[in-house]
Amino acid sequence: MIAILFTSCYKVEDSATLEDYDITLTYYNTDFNFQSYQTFMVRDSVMLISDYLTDEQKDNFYTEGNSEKIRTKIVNEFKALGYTEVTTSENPDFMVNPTLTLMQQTSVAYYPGWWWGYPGYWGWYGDWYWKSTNYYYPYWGYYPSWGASYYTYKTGTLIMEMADGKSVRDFQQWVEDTNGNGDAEDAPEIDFNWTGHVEGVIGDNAKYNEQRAANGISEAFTQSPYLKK
Amino acid sequence: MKKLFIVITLITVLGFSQKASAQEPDATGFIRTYAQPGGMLSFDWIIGVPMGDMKDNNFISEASTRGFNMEYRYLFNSPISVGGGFSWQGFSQKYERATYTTDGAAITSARFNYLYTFPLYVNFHYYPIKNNTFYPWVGINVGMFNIDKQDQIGRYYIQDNSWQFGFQPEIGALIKPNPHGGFGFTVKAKYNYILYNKGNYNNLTQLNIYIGAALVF
Repeated sequence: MIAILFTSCYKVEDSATLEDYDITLTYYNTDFNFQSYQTFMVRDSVMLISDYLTDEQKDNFYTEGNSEKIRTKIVNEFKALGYTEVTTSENPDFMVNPTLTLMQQTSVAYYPGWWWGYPGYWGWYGDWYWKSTNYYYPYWGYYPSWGASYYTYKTGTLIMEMADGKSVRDFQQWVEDTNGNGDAEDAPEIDFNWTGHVEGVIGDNAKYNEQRAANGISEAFTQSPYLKK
Repeated sequence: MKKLFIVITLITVLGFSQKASAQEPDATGFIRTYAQPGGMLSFDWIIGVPMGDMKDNNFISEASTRGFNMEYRYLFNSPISVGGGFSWQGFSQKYERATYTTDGAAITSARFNYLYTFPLYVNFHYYPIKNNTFYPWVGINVGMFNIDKQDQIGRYYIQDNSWQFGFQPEIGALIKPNPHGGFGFTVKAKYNYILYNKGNYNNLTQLNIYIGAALVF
């Protein structure tokens, strides 16, 4: 059986730190010529989706400047590649709508038996007992955490998409033309030519989280040399 | 590993304390003779070195010191034995954060690869030399091996937990400090070959060195 699963992260290598679980993933339309893009705009704030933050915490994300930090970082990355930031009224060639998803994940750690012992975990040879015939026999019954335990952790995923400006305007025009009552199946498609995902497990230290997120945004652009003008 | 060494040490102490009358020499002076069929139980610590596709596919190349083996042999009135056993080994390797690209996509993260093997096997051995202190053999172990193979990137992993056919050609020897005693040290080398036809793999192989203790009775 082959399956893609959520790993129960913290069971692994002793040397692993939270940043070892950070993933930066980008994918793009290989048929598209990014040199045809000149101008861009990034939405005025980062969209925030979360299943555990309180409304107050969500507000703080904007009032304490986190949204602006992420937005500025993305704008600067695109500028550094040679694109020009414009306003919506100037019909940008592409538009970016950064979305941050903060979710609480529940995972199950199983302890199915001694031979599936997790790395670095040698509980299985815990107990041996003496037998009067002068031989040792292993006593396998001993296992400190037999069964399963649940634990939760939080992940953050920042998604940055380059939406084709013309396709967005066509879509908006269609919404206008149909007064918002059009059949969704007839709606013109919005083209995304590049998508970047920055994902990590959220730690207790806000500075560390922020630094890893910023590093991930940089990595997304480093990974995509074809974006450079 | 500490407890494993304690166990081996205890078997060692136990073996030395056994009475010399346990086994009598045959007409040729050989004690562990074919005329005295009996059992041999050994417990070994395993050092494993990845070979073959496991190494060539950049899955894991680092040696493992996490492994143990326990096996039993019944020696007949001839220079052969038949028995069975099981072992457990854990291999792992961390690859530092790097970028991997495919057509139209790229990913940057650290990678962790794991392989756990749990062979359940029957064994056949041949003993070419009659010697009381150095008793060598050649043999083969054949069985079904449970494998748990994990390729992890970031916090995601692909896992394959399955049973595969495997075999292990083996050379080794029993070294008995006291020819009359029921205790000996064992040294073995087994080439662990697991048939594994998935993706770009044909096998999962390791060269394993076993160091252990045995009770002969």
